[in-house]
Amino acid sequence: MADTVKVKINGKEYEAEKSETILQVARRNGIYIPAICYSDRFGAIGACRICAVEIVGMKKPMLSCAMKVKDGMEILTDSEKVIEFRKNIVYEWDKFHPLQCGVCDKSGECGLQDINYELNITENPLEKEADPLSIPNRTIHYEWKIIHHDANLCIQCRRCVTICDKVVNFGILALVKKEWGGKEIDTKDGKPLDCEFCGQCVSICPTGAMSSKLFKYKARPWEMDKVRTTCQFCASGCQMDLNVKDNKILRVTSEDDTPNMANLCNLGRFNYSVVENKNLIKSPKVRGNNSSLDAALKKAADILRSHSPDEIAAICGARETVEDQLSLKLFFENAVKSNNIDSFASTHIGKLFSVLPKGVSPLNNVSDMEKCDVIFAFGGDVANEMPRLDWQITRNVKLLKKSKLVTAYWRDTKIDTLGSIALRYEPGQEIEFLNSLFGSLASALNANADIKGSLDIAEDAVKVMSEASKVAFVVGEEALERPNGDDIAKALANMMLLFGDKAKLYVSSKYNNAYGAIFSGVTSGFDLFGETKKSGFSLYDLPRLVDEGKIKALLLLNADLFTIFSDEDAKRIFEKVDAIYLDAYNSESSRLANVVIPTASFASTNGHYVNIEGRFNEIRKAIDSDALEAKDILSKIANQYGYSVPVGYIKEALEKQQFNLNQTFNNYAKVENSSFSFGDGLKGVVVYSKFRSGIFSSFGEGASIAMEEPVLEINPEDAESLGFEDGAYVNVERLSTKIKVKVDDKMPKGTVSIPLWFKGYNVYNVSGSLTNLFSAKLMKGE
Amino acid sequence: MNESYVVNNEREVILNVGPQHPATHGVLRYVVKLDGERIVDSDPQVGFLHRGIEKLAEYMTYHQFNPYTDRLDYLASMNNNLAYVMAVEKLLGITDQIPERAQYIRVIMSELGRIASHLVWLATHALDIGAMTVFLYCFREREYIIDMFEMACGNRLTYNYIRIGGVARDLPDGFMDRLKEFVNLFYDKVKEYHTLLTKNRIWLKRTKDVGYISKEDAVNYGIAGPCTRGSGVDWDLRRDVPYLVYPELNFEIPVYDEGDVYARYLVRMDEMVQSNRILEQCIERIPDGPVMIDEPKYVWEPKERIMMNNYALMKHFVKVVKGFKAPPGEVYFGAENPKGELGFYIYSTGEGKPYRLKIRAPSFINISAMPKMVKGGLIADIISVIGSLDFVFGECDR
Repeated sequence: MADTVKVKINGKEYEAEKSETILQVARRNGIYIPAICYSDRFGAIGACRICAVEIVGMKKPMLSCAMKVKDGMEILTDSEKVIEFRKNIVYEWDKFHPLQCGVCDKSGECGLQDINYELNITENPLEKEADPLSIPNRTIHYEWKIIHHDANLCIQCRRCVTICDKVVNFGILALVKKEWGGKEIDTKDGKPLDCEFCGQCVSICPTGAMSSKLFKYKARPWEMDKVRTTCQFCASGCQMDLNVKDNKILRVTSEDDTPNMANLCNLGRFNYSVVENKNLIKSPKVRGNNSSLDAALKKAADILRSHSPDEIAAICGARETVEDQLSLKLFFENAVKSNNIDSFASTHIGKLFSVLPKGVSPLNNVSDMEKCDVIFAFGGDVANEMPRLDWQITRNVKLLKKSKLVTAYWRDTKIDTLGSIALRYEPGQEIEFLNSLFGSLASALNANADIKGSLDIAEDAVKVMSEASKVAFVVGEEALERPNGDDIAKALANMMLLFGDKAKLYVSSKYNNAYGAIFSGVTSGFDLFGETKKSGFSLYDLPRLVDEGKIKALLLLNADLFTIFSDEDAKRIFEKVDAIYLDAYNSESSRLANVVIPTASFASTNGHYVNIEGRFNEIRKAIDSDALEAKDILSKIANQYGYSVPVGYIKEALEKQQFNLNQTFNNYAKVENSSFSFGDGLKGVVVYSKFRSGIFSSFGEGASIAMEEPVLEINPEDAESLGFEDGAYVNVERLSTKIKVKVDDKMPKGTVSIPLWFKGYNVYNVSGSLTNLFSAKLMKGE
Repeated sequence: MNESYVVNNEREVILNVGPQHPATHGVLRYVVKLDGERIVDSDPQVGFLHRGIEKLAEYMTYHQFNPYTDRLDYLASMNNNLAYVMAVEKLLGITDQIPERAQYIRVIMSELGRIASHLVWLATHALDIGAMTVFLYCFREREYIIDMFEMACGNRLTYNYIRIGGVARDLPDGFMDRLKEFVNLFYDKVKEYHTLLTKNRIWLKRTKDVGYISKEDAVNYGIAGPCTRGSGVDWDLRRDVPYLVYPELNFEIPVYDEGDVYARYLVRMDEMVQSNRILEQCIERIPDGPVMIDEPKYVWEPKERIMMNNYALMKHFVKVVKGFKAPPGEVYFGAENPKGELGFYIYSTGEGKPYRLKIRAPSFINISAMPKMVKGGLIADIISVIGSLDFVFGECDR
C-alpha cells in the first residue's frame, strides 16, 4: 500500500501509516515515550518537548508528538542524547518547583513526579547557580471560584490552555506576561475566572497547579476507592469514577479510555455533593409525618388498591434506572392492571421517537459524529443542554476540521463561535422555519413533496446540506418542548426522511435515563423495548384528568411535578389525588405527597442508565445508604398485591439491550404552521442552564458556586428602553421572586430568556405547565 | 486414588487423617484406603489454608509483597524473603550490585533460618513418633536463633528483614557475639540430638525402610531439598546454581542413598552441622560496608534525604503509590530453602506491579509424592512420612 511506511524504532522494524506521528506509532506498538503536554483528548501541543526522540541522521532530537513518520526512518527513543535532552528540560522545570509534595494534592498522581522518577533525577545542576531568594513569587489565584491555580507549581505545558480552547471551546486561559518578567497561566482579560467551570483544566493538569477547591486537602489519591459509574445529570452517559473514602464521595475523575475521553462538565465533575445526606429524604412519610418503611409501604399499597385501575396513574421522572422502570412497568401492567404510565421523556424525545422516519439511524455513538461532514444543530443550545455534544461538535469542527456546522436557533450560541452557517428564526417560528428549509432542500435534492414555508433560507446552508454525504441532526430538547412540540417533531421527521439513511440523529436530553424510559415502555406511546403503541394516558392531560376526577391516585417515581408543572397545577394535583412519591432528594413534591418513600440516590444504586447512544451504562454502588433502591421498594409494594416482579425477565431484557424502535414514518406529513401568540409582552423563552439538571442539582456545591442564581438574559437595546442595567433585579409577571438581569448582545431584540430549575422559583409559573414560551412582562424591582 | 474413594471389597476401609490432626502439621486432609493396617491407596487433599497470595501479588507493588512471603513457610521466613527478593533483583538486573556485607548478612540469616526450621522439623517429627525430650531440646536452641532474629529486625516469626536491594538495616551491636556464642555451642547440641535418636531402637524401627522413594521417582516427582538428597540425588542449589557468596564458602552437601525416612533424617541432621560451618566462616569473613544498594530508582531512600531533597521526595511518592517500574520480562529464581527449592516466577509488563507471580512451593510438590511413599506400608507409617517430608501449609496452599 502506498500509505504505509516502514520505520525502525530502537532497531526493530514497524509498519505505520503515513499520517501517523512517531509517538502514535510507538504507543501503538507498546514502546514507551514520555509525554507531558500530549494528550489523546486534543493531540499534540509541542510545548513540553519531553517526547523528543533521536532520529538517525538528524542532529537535534525531534518532537515525536508532532513529527510524522517517513519511510526508512530510524528512531531511537532512549539513546543517551535523548535522555540528556529530556533531563535538561526537567532540570528547568524543577529549578523553581517548591518542595511541597508533602502537602500537595497531586502527589501520587503527578506528572512531574513521574518524569523525575523515570529519568532518575537525584540532583539538579541548575539549582546550584540559582539563588533561592531570587525566585520571584508567582501568583496564587485564591479568588477564582471552584478552581485553584498556583502558578508556582506550573511547568507551563499549556495543557489547560489547549483543552480550554480546543476541547471546551471556551478559551479563557492563556500564558500571560507578568510583572516579574516571566509568563504565567491566567485568564486572558486578567479578571477572576468566569467560565463554564467544567474543571477540564484540573483534570488535564500534570502537576498540582490547577486543582479543585472542593477537593483540596480532603484526601490523598491513593486513599480513595474509584467506582466507575455513569453521570446522573444528562443523557450523554459520561463514564466517571467516584472517588470514595469513608463512605463519602470526595471528587469525581474520569479516565482517557472512557467513551467521553475523560471529559466531564461542571455538573458531572463538581456536583457530586448532591448525594450528601442533608439533601436526601430522611425517612418514609405518611401524610407528612415520619413513619416506618413497612407502614409507608402498606399505606402505598392501600392507596393503589382502594382505587379502580383506570383511576391510577404512574409517572417516571426519567432519572431512575432501567431496572426501576421495568419493575414499575411490569407491576403496573400485571398487578395494578393499569396502562396509565408516562414519563418526563414524553416531553421531548418521546415526541420525536414516535415519528421516527424510515432509514434514519436514531441511536448513534457520539464519536460517530466524526463521520458526518455536516452537522445540523437545531432547536436548542447544546452547550447548555448536553456539553458532551457541544464538545464533540467542537472536536469535529475545530480540532479535526472534518465537518461543517449549520446552526438553526433563535439566538447565537456558543457553538456559533466555531464558525457556522447560522440560520435564525424567532422563538415559536420553528415549524415555519423547518418547512421553509425543507422546501429549499427538497427542491435542491429533487424530492417530490409539497411543503414550503415563507422564511428565506441562506443559500450556502442549503448547498452545504444538500451536498452532504452524512448529516448529524443534533436536535435540542428545547424545540421539542414547545407547546406545538408534536408538530415540530413531525416537521423534523420530514427533514430527516429527506435525507434517509444519510441522517444520524442526536436528541439531547437533560434527563439521564430518558432513553431508558423509551426502552422500558414507561413513556406514553411506547411499549417494552421502545416499540410504539397507541398512546393512552399522557402527562399533558394530567391536570385536566385530575380536575375531571378521572385520576385519583398517582405513583410518582422520581417525578418531581414542580419541575414540569406550574406551582398552581402541581399543588392542585397533590391536593386532589392520593400521591405516592418515590425519590431520593428533598423537593416540594416530597413535602406534599401523601406517602413518601425515600429511595437510594444514584451513588448508592446498582443498575443501568441508557444514554443518547442507546448504550446501557452501568451505575454502581459507591456509598452505603439506609434507603432501598426503587426497584426493591416497588417489588415490596407489588408483594402486597401478591405479585412478584419477574427479576429474571428484567435481567434477560437488560442482557439483550435491544431497542425495537418502529420507524414507520415514511410519507412526508404536511404540518400546518401554528404560531405562538406572545401578546403585548416581550418574547419569553424558558431555556436550560448549563449548571442545572433538575431542581436537586442546585443542592450540589459545584453547580451552585458556579452559578448561584438564575439570570434573565436580555438584548442591550431592550434593556435600555426598559431602563434595566446589567446586574439589576427585576420582577417578571407571575414569577414569585425577583431575577437578576444579564444584558447579552447575542440575544435577539424583543426576546428574553429565563433558565430552568433554580432553587426557590418555578419558571412554569410564568410560562404555564409543560411549555417554554411565554409573554414576558418585566417590571423594575424595588 | 479415585475421587469418590470407592472401596472394592468388604475388607477395605476409607479413613480420613486430618485435616484436624496434630500430626498432619497444619491442615492436611489425608484420605487413606486401608486393608486392615495396610495402606492400599491414599490421597492428600490440600487447600484448606489457601489465601490467594499469588493473586494478591498482582495488586501490590514489589515492595508491598515482601511481607506476604513471610507468611508462606512461616518457619523459615528469612529464606522466603531471600528467594523473593533475589527474584525481583534478577528482574531488575541489580543482582551483582548488592553490597557484600548485605550478601553475608543474607547468608547468615538464611542459614540460621535453615537451622531453626530443621529444629522445628526434628522436634515435631520426633514428637509425632513419641520422643518428647527431643522436642524440648530443639525448641531450646531455636529460641536462641529467634532471639537473634528479634535483635536484627524486631520480630520473632515474620521478619521482612531481607529487602529488595539488600537488608532492612545493619546488624545491631552484640549480634555477632551472640552468633559466635551460638555457633560454638551448636555442634554439641547436635550431638545431643544424635544420642537421643540416631541409634534409638524405637526410632530405627519407625523410620528405617519406611516411606521409601527411589532416586528416579524422587526426580520424576520433582521433589526437592533434603527429601531428594535422602534418595541419593546429589543436588543443592547453593552449590549447583550458586547465588550470594555461597561459592566462596566451604560446605558439604550430605547425601544418603537409602531413600527412607531415616535417610532423610540423617540428611537434615548433617545439614544443620554444615549450616553451622557456613555460619562459622561468615563470622570470619563478613566485611564492613553498606547493607543496601544506592539505586534510588528501586529502593527507599533515607528519611532525612526524602525530607530535604526535592527529587528524593518526588520519587518517594512514585515508589510508594505506583511502585517502581520493573523492566518488562520474566524471571525465575529458585533458592535452596530448608524445605527444598522455593522458586519465584515473575512476569512483568513494565508496570509497578507484577502481571503474574507464581510460587514454586517445595511443600506442595513434596506432598504429591506421599502416596508413592506410603503405599503398601502400615497406617502408622503415615505419621513418620509426614514428619520426614517436613511441609508447611502456609507454603503448600499459599
